[in-house]
Amino acid sequence: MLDAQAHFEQIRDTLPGDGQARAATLAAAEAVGLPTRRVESWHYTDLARLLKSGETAVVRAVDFSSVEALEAHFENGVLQSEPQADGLQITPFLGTLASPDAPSPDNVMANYNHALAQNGLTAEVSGTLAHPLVIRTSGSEPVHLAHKISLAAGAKAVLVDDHMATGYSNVVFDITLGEGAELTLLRSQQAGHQVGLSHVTLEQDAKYKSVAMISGGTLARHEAHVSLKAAQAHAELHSAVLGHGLSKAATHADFTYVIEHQAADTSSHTSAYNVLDGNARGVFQGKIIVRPDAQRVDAQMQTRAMMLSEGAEMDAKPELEIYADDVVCAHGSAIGELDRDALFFLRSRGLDEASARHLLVAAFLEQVTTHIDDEGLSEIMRGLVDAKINTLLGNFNGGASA
Amino acid sequence: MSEAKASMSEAKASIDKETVEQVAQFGGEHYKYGFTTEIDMDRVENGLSEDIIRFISAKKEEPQWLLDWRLDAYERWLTMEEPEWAHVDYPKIDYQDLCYYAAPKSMEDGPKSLDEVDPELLKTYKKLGIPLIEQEMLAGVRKVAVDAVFDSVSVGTTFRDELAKDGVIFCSFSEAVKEHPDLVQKYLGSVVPKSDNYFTALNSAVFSDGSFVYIPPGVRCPMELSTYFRINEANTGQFERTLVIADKGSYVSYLEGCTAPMRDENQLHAAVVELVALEDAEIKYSTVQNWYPGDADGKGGIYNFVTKRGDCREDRARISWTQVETGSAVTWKYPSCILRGDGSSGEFYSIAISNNLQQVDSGTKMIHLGKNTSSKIISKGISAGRSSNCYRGQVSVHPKAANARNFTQCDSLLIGDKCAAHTVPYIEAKNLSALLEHEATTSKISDDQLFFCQQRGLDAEEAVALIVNGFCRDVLQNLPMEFAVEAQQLVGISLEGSVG
Repeated sequence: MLDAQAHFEQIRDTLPGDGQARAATLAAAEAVGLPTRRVESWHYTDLARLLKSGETAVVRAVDFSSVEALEAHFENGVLQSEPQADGLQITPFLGTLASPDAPSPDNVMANYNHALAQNGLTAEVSGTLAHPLVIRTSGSEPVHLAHKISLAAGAKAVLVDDHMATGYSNVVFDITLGEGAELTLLRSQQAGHQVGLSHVTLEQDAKYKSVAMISGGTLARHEAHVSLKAAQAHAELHSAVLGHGLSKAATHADFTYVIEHQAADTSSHTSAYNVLDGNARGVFQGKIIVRPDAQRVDAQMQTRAMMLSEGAEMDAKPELEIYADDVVCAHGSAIGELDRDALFFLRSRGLDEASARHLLVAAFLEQVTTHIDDEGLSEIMRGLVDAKINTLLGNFNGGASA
Repeated sequence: MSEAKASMSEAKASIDKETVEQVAQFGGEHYKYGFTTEIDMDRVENGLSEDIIRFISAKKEEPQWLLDWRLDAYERWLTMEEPEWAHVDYPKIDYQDLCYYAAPKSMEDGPKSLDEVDPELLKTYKKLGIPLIEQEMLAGVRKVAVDAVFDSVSVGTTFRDELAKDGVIFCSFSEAVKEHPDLVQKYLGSVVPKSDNYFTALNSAVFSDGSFVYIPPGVRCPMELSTYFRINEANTGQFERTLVIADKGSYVSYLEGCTAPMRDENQLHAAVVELVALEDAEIKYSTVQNWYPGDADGKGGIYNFVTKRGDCREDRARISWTQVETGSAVTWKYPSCILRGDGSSGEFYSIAISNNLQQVDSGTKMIHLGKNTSSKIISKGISAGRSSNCYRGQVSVHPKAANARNFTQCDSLLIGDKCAAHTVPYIEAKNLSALLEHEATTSKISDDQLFFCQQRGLDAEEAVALIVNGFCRDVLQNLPMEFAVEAQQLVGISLEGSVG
């Protein structure tokens, strides 16, 4: 799907920054090549195969007008409008500055991004942003974006990543949270093939919350590396997948987290809820690392999957790597089909089959949307989930006989 | 006056002596199996080559097919690479600097019965607490038949005649090759293919002895069977093979124990265990692994790279693994179940204790292939000192395994702030009706629990042993009675010096 070298030659003149350095990074990345299933962190996501499927159908943009969102819209990598607000400082994109580690099969996608990043939002937040900031990605051309978001000490912001691009995209988020800063990152992917990577670092008392919702697209790989660097830092990562589609058009949603507790008295809370219909495949790889002397860490990780059809597949690998003793770390995983007893209960209360299934799936995913604190945004995301369940399972008609 | 002084100093001396004894008890002597047996050994020169393999095969008077099988395994081994994915770290093993065959000289003439076995060997096993003289078994105690493997050979198998009355075959692997070649040829390598991994290929090429069990259809094995592995010679590797076949509707409980002398250099143990359970058969396999773990500074100890796998080949077969791991410097071991038959079930109960600089990477694989299969995994990892303890497990449900069920619980207990505990589960569901549950926790012994026990008069180490035994209860309950007592004591001994 993507001939990186040809793509580079094509857009070379438009790329900011040091062209030669980019060419060198690209050559090094190409020498390593796309990760294969033999690479442990890509074991369940066969990138080369998944990238062979074509573009996905065009989807409607999510309407954020009700929450008066600020918008940074990248259409085929070109910034359409620049948001302006108090406490928000946007600087022009100059290429990714810090070069990633030398390419290895594990991090080669970051190197591709470094070589090919054509744009990205470089934003510094000081103070509290009154309205959510939406980063919208649309278009059908291959695109490499590198966003850099920094929150100064005490700053607060809600960020929405609305991904509706129908082609291939490689998106890197570099997020730093100063002391006491709080960031909520809401992610929605409705289409396309996205290889996403985020690096998040948290200073003392900082709070990071990411809530992701995959409702379409044939590839959603969301890899996040979260470092909790000082006491009382707290990270939450929640994800919901509503996978569907048959064979090549099926959703493949992969959440891969590495959560590193580098300091004592830090905490993290991770949950992943997958609803898998058709030939959809859900992947969850979560790794909690507690470094030596990072005592009194509280880390929890939950994976749940609801299988709706014969051809669906779920793979989970929740890992713990603990080097300190005074910790409370736990992970749990449960995979199964729609609870038949629950279904029977609802049917016995007069709901038809479709409504009962709709209600149970909605309730299952509600456990993710409930983490969205902003009421307006929560409403919008619930609407998105509901509409998707409607198209998959039929409408919920509140028990009126069909 | 002087009399009083004398009695004082006498009392002091006796107190000193008592202290020294106590210290000795807690210190150097906690691995009580660390002695060596002085015995004339017949060993080949170090190194691995086709010639060595031919030598081992000739020594055991093996048929041509087995020699060919070994040579094929060796050829494959040469093309393979030592696996590096496990969470363990050890210096490269020089496979040319190992001795692949060592046997007591007295075994050369092939003693006809246990009465003819070198008394020195019998003494060794007696010292290990394994009586090989049938008469010595206490009246009233449940009988346990033992196959004793000493370095590369089996020195004797007890109760063979009594077992033969029920048609049960229990003998050393070498004898099985001679007396039951059809069974061996049919099942050898059918669960663990010779090129399954680096260490199975090595084992398949040079395996020296081990135990063979066959339970005929419908027979419930009248006593526990057990194998006791002893590494004695310095600088040797032990490569044994165990093959247990439970024919339709039969039952067997099998125990395995192992010890080795205390030595400064590391020794390699690469075994293969294959279990085959046919229709309605049940195999219960229990291990207490007490290899020498190395000293407090991580010097010496056994490298234990073992492949154990059971195949529930037909409907409603059951295989259960129970293991207590306290020994070896580095452990790399994943007793697994292939649930091929419809309605078959697999169980895995494990306690893995690591102290000082021990490294454990252990777990299981449950491969659900048949319909209505179920599996259960209970793993308790305890790390103390500067050790590292990793649970690595896989539960895989294939598309045709309708109604597969799995429950997994893996808990880690950390004692001290320099040790590490890891959990790496792989959960793969390819069937809609599969129900897979997984729970894992990591925690330390709470100060409240310790305080409570100490306040009731237990010292710190007793308190830890008590709490750890409670933590492991789910697994200890599944051990046969003979092993349960030993295992409980082992838990205490292995953790000595980890608190205070």
